[in-house]
Amino acid sequence: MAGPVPLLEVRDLKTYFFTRRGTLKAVDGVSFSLAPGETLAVVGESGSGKSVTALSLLRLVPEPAGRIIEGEILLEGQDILKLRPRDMRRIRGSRISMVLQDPMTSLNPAFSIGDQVGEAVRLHQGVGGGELRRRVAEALSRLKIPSAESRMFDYPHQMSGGMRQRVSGAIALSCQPRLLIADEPTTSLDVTIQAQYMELLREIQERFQISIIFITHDFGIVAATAHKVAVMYAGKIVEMGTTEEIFDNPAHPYTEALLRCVPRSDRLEARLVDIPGQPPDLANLPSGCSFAPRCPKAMDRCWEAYPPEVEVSPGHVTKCWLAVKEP
Amino acid sequence: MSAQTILEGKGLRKHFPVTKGLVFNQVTGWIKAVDQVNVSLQEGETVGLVGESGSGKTTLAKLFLLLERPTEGTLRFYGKDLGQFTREDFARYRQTVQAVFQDPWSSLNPRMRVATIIAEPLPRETPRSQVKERLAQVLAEVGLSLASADRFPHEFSGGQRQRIAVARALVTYPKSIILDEPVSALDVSIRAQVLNLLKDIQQRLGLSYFVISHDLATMRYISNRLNVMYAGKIVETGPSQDVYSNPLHPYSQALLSAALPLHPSFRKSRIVLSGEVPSPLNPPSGCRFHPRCPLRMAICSELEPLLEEAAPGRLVACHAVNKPDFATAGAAATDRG
Repeated sequence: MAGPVPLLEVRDLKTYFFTRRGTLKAVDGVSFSLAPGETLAVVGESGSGKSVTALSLLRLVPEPAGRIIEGEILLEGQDILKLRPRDMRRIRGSRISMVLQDPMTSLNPAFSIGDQVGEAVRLHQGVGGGELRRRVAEALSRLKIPSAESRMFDYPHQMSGGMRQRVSGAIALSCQPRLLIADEPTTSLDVTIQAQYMELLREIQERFQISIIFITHDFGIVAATAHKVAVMYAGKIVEMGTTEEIFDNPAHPYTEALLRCVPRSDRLEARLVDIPGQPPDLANLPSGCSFAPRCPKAMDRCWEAYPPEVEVSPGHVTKCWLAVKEP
Repeated sequence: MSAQTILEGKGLRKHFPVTKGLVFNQVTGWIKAVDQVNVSLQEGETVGLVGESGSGKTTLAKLFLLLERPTEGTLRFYGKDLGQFTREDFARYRQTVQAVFQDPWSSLNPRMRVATIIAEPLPRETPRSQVKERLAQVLAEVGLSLASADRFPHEFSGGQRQRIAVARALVTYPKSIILDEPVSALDVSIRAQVLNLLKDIQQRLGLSYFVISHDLATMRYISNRLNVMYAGKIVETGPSQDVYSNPLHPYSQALLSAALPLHPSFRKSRIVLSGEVPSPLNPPSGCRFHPRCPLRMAICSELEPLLEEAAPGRLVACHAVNKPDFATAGAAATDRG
């Protein structure tokens, strides 16, 4: 893309897990880029590698079983995979930060929320005392936590689920990161609270020009927030393009099936279109295309070799034999 | 329609005491988890219950499953009151009303083989040959192979585990199944499989379902009648299609509008509610929704609205809907007062 300089560029990232069952290729050659202020949604089922991709960006892959084998992760031009651990620590929580799925478990019950929000500010920006307290109150009120000055002395159990998820948001945004990774941040929230939270994220993104990577399995969240979509299946991005393109012209049968198998609230189907079979077992992938066993349009060729990446239209790529034009 | 009513709850209340102190256990307050709820379930129909966490929907399911007894109100089973149940009635009830829970990772005992899990609800004196035969039938019903019977739950994926849970519910020839968030723990691609399976089984066996969910689209796909619950009360009830196409209660409207868009071009302005679901320990006075309600009037904080017919077959508990004219609402308040 010729647009602005990308904030983040990932090239051919491979993260493997070495286990007794064999090598699991959790992330297998993933490439994408993200402009400042842009939102990318990474969509996939459990086991598709979307969460491991997120962890790789922070270099938090659980070692020694998991390792980033090769690839480059360029943050504002700098390859963070080449950094020393102590330099990487300076980036985590300050330039790249993350909101996790479940605020019930991601917050420490033994520390007040003020302590937890302040930790990153203290470590990265070396402030303390009254200045730190002021910064914490500011971070909390940015996430619209009412009476932040007094609530910062509360503990996580004194807050509701939606409030706790805002606290994790305040922690992640406390050092004004350039990139926010949100791993299913709203799945444990109620519908009306989810709507509040997404609205809040969108406001903050616009105000501070943060880039966001949304990890999700819900195309509703994609439709509501993302500029770009990457659909992952068995460790690979099988389709990527702008949100409108993906919704209007899905090129990969998996994307198409995912879009169609959700019950819609605007009309009533007599029967849902379902995807047969199970999500893939990474230790036991078929030769050829890994979606072939569940694909309604699988051809002989699909069982023989993995399809190459094809550009369907400008900026819209897919890995499917159906999209490959015969020479 | 001559469909029989299997379950009927009238004026159901479930209040939990909040206690303080170890020795004397002083009761310091009551959590009104379910308050004055009327629900019924007829043969062959699917009744849906939507609401957010803390609205009391799971407590209501527990009342139906006899895991909790109502503090007040009556629960009738084919017309017979729960208070007059004999031992045989209880046994029959538990065979007729079965359950499938949300999370198939915690609802199946990891140390039991699938055969044991599924056969557990059967009466102990059932001869072995019959158990085996029934096992084969229900496994076929949910689309699992007979070989699954000798395996353990961890050998199955989420969708298959939920099939095992459905098979366990089917084994006693039930008339109705209480489904508490049956697909929300599953992967998107698997949800459709399980929903289709549930619909197929319902048609084949003539079951009735009582489905609890916070996912509105799933609810629309599966249910005939819908109840919307808020802070322990049912605020709207009616045929699902009508409630979806034209929600009347402001909470139902906000709930439907908060649902995620289906296409990026529908990034409409949504009704984003401020605030959160109130604490059931100390619910707001009057209408429990009034602190968050966009249509709030003066009367709403004083008088609790009753569930009244707002359109044919549709009941709504809202002053703004039932008495659009404030003067009439005030008059009604003095009448009742």
